[in-house]
Amino acid sequence: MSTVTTTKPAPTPDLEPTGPETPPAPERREAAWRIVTAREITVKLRDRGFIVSTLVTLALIIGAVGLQVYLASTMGKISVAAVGTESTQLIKQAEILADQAGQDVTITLRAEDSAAQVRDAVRSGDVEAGLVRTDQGWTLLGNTDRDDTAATWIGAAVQAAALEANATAQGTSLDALTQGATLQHTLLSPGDTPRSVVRTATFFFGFLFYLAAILLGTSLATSIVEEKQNRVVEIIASSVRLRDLLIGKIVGSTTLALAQMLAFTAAAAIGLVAAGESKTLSQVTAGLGWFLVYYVVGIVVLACVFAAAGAIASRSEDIQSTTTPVTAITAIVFIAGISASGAAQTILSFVPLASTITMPTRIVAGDTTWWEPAASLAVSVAAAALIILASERIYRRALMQTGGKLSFRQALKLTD
Amino acid sequence: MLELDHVVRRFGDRCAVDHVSFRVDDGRMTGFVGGNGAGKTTTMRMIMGVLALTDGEIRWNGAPATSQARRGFGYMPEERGLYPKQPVLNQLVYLGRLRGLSAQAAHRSATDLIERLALADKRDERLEALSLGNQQRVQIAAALIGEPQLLVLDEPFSGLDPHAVDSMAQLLREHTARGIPVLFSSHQLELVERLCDDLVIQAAGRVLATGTAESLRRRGRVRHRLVGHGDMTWLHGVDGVRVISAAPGTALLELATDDVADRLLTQALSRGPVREFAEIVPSVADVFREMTAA
Repeated sequence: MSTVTTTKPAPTPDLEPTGPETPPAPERREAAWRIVTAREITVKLRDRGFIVSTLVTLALIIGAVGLQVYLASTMGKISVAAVGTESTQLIKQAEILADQAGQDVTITLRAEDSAAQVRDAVRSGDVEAGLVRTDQGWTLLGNTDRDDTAATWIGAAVQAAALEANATAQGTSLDALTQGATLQHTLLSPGDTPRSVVRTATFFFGFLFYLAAILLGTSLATSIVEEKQNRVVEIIASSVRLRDLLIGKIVGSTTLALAQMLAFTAAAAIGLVAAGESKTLSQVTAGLGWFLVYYVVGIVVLACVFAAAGAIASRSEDIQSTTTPVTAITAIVFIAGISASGAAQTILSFVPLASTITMPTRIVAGDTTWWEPAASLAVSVAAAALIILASERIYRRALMQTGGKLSFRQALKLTD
Repeated sequence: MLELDHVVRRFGDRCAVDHVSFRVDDGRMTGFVGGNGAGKTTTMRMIMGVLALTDGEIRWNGAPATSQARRGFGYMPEERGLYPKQPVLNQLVYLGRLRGLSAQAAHRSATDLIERLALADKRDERLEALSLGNQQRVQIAAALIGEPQLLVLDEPFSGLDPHAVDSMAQLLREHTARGIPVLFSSHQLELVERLCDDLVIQAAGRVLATGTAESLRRRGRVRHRLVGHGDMTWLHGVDGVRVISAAPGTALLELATDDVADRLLTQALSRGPVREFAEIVPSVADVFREMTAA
């Protein structure tokens, strides 16, 4: 008996689980962290405390800028009482000189009939100063305060007029007298950003960074402890990876904090323009590109550190003590960042958080080779990733610890 | 089907769960009983992936349970808690979406559950504004959202009034009727006996017994009561019979084997009338007490 057997390939094992469960659901594919981020933002935007504090800060900025505008509008505007055409000429000349020097000075003339009336006007406070002719020349009268604007520019006008008169008396001209007396100012690297601008930008971004730390820190740490405090965390932990929860919260809080910063900065910028300080604004924004890149990266690293501070707390009451070290570090970074120079600055420009201020300062000042910014950014991003992973571990391990806050060391010792 | 295979969990030197193995079959309501510190909550947390296993394996439909599979498990943790400041509907939709539902599906599922649980007029209220009973219902909804494939409920009946217990039981029955396995822990042994198809008894981190309620009751000492006439002291002389208590006309007995019963009844009838000869099967509570007393 001979049988021909054909070997059939074994049927491919059915990989789909059989049974009443797991219907293939194409809907089940949304990145969990984005859902967390979306909730984080909508909940915050409906939170009265958040809205009120944002509006109050905006109002303070607008108020401060308004004050600035008011002060700017009164500064450089003086009225001077005087007698006769000669003094009128001098005052007009003073205004022209100030204008040539790029100063915004307006001098309003109040014509009086006699020196006594000028004195009365100054004494009554109607005018800031009075100009009277004396035997030795001219005298500027003030009541209780010396007026620097009047002294500087009327002084210059008096000097110029006297020089001109004396030159004519000597049979020469003012031009001949002042020949060779001009000083040319030539910049060797006019294309590079001025150091003063770098300093302004450093201070500005250092301050913004510190402000962001205050805005972001407690709110992010509180948001991270929220689930642990109200114990919804077990349901969440059984649905999504805790990393997704943390990333979602970090992205949500950071986005809101950056939006707040943007609103505050915009309010301040509008104010600066309104105050006629557009020159200051353009100085600050000159190095903006690099500062912005480092600012965003620095905020992300900072958010990760605050997330870790939130992860070791069990209740919002613990937040104060767990975030204090982080806030202190930020303050140190702020101070070190704006004051460091030389080798210290070079080293700090590679340290995460500290690089936020020091590296762009070096780049804008033209002190770096091409690889340095790249390396420093890479270090920061790597640090952010490591901190997120460590925070996830801490969070997971501290999950069931409801007895109070842990130390970082205790949290890392716990098992999953 | 959910299977636990020699699951171990240690906290430092303490072994909270010690080689626990049991199954929760499809469409079966499985009661998980044990005293405080028996390791029930720790076991459930490991099933849900909230706590890591020290050793052993948890399988879902024959394969190791993945986090993806666990997204399909409905869970009511021992420590209740949701977002107190968020409206009811909002947080259910959020939890549904975290479980992998699309925004629309989560909204639909949440709305359905809210209506089922008679919370429709409360859907936009903040959770903290609700009565405790209603908060508990929202907690149930959080476990049931998104048509879970398995329900793991830690003390779902605690704090419920008798009506709420009935409607909760009804709700769980609906799930088992659809073939969904349900595991719940409870201290209320009478309730467990009434509701459960299967039982797992755990003490000090170890499983003492598993099986149907009936088979567990049979594991306890089955006794017999004999109600007859007059003096019952003759029973002391019957082979295979231990007299627990005897009074004129009635006696409580423990029989060595089942066939002793026939012999005993014949003898009793030969001595006079027998009014009652009946098995006394212990309740689950009795069995539990007996098992955990040691």
